[in-house]
Amino acid sequence: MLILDGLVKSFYDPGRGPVPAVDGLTLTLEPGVTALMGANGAGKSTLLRLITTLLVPDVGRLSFDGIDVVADPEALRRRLGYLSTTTRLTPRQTAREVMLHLGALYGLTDIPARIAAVAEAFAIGRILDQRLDGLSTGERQRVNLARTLLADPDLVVLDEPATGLDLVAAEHVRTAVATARRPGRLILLATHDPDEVTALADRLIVLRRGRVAFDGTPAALGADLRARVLECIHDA
Amino acid sequence: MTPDRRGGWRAVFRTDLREVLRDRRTLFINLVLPALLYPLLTLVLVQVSQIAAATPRPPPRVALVGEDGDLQRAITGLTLVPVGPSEAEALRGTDKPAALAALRRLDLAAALVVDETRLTIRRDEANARADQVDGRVESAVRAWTRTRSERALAGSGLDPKAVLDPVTVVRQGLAPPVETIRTRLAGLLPLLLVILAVSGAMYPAVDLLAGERERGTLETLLSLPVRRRDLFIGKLLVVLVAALAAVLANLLSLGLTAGLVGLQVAAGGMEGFDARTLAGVGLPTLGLCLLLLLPLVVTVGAVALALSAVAASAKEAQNHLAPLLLVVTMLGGAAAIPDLRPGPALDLLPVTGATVVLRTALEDPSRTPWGDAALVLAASVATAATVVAWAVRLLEREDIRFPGLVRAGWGRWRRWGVNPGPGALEALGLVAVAAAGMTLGAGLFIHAPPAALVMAPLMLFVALPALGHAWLGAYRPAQLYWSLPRGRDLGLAALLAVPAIGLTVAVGSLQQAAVDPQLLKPIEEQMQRILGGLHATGGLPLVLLAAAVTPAICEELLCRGPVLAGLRRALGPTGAVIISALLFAALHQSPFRFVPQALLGVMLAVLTLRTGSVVPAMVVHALHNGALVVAESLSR
Repeated sequence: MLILDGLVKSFYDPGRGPVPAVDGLTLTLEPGVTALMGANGAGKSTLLRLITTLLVPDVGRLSFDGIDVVADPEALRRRLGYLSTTTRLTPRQTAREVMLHLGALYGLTDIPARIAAVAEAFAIGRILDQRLDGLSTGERQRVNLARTLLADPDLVVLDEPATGLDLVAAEHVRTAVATARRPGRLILLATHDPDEVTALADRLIVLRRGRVAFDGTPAALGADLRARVLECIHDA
Repeated sequence: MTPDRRGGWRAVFRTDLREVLRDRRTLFINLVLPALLYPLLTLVLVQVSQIAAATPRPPPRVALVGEDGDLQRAITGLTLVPVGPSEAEALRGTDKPAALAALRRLDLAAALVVDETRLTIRRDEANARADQVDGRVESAVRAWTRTRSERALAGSGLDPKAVLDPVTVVRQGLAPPVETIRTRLAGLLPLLLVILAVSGAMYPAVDLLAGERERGTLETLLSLPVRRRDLFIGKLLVVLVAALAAVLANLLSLGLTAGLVGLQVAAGGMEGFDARTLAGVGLPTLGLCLLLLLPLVVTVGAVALALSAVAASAKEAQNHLAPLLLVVTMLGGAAAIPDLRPGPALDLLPVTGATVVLRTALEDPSRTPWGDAALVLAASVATAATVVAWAVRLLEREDIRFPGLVRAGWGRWRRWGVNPGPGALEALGLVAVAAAGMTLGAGLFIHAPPAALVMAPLMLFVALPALGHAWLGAYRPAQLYWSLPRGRDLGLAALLAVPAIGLTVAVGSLQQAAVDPQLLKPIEEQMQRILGGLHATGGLPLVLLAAAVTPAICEELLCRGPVLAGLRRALGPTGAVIISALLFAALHQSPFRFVPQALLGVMLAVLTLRTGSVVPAMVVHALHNGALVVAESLSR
């Protein structure tokens, strides 16, 4: 269970001065798929970077299954898989080398078996031994998803994983996220795609200027999710 | 999951090394370029020298004014140009512009003007060939003088040879040419090694942090369960391997090129150019080279990685690293100063200490200064550990991980957030400013009255930079330990002054006992002169003001103020106390008082950290200096 308690993180904006990107968020997130939506600059990526220990909150507490994330970030990282549009893979390595490296960092004992499992799940068996700089964007993103789930993390944070992909690759990524669901695992998915939310999420949180504009099931927003989310973003 | 907490650095090292080995640019710069550079440069130099040798160059043109006899016949290697009376007058005259115009009109490098017993060489220094004239004229004059002397002596019935050459000087070189060449190379080789190591470390350092940031792989790495320390050490090891590979590749290429050139030269009949030139130094000396080079490369590699970490892009990282190469080259270049020998003060100086010891060992392996080598090694390892500890902590900082996102600006230009106080770079920068001011700027007051000579440099170059920095940095007094003390802390200071004086006097006496009194004499004389001048001007009150109170206020404002605060933020209290004390001692620029000054620095830094105020340290410092000058006055 991920608990956010009065979380605040501000950045400096040359025009406006200090601006809270995350403004006093208090949430409790249970296992399952939680989707995050919001306009650009609403605070989605900042929130995910706070959760993944890359940023430190100015104010507030953050804990995951009893781990104080700010005090012991490394303990969280051991149970974390993080993928965003800005988390890339070392270009001059093969997918297998990347995963062997990660397996060593996570202290995995059955690395070849895990690699075989994620390779099958994400259909990357054919390209496992090719250098990543020779793969297509879609293939690289599938490898990236596979490495995110290699250590079977309990907390999976996906920041717009299908952004910039063609339709086929994006569909592939969506299927992969659906496959990643398992009991006890919390998947946080930031996205701009209402279809993705409808297909994958158990819960939807819409952010507006660092605050919660909507929190509930996607179904609660009715059939026209896109229109209702737009309303939340503009009117909350 | 049980992460391999101890071996995280191994995984980072393996992956990053593989990444670097697959990067063709790094391989080219660190291995291929050095392998090709020396043979190609040698080839070009040989070609250029052959072309230069084959190109006929007419001797420099000169005019001889006022003599047309024996001297004219004695001159060789110069083209004598006849000049008319008006030109001769201009060349001989006192009007320098007119003489220069005449030289240039006739395309002359110089005019030789002979007046009775004086020969004046009037040169056009802007003419590149003017430098060749002097030596040739001096040879001609010697031959000319000798001819005249021989004639005069023969006319007097004396044997000219017996009078002019009573002793024949014969030069005989006894050292094997291999050793002679090695001695010449010894001044250059340590600097070369250091420059090669730094340049070898630079490219991978840029690529492994700033490059990763640009490629987007750093964020992935930072979200993985690897401690920042392991991450940094894994990367540092890759930089180390790359730097040492570059050094080895350079040395191998240099050695092979020198060997091949040597074979050619030897085939041409010249002795002394073979592979033994470097190999002949023996394994212990080569081992010492490696041993001293290793902590140096670790230090430079860690600084390079740290600079790469604070850069927002690879380009910015390269801009940060260029001055590092310059600083290291200047420090290492000091080893080329003739007669500079290893000694305790020099040994502690980063880079310079190592290069001076290496030069001494390479010059004559049988006289390797092992004691100095041990001190250099200890100092280098301590420096490397300090720098690595500081650099590791950088990766913990959010503004380093996301420089574009959360960097807030500095001091008066800070745009938001809380001002965290001065940093280590500011501390080192302030010490550098003070040291440069006291070294270069103190000369401004050399003719000033004694009080100004002592106090003005301290106020201008020590106190003023500290105050200016505090204003520009917009620091609160408490952040610099400039707060007012509690009353009992002043009492503690007064009590501490007695052991402080006793300790520094005892240690100072021990250190001075080990020094040749002749070396101390000029310093003591200068001190006596200054104190005497102060006494003569204003008596004991002025002596105390100039030599006790002013240094205490000015030096404490700086050394126990922003310097201690900045170092504490980067290194923690222990590191800050030690480094600030060493910097305080170094600022006094007296190797013979280094140890007692450093001890005093430690006491004052601990006192400041304990009390949170610099004022008790000022009190101890003033009482310490005051007691010493009063004792000095009483002994006069």
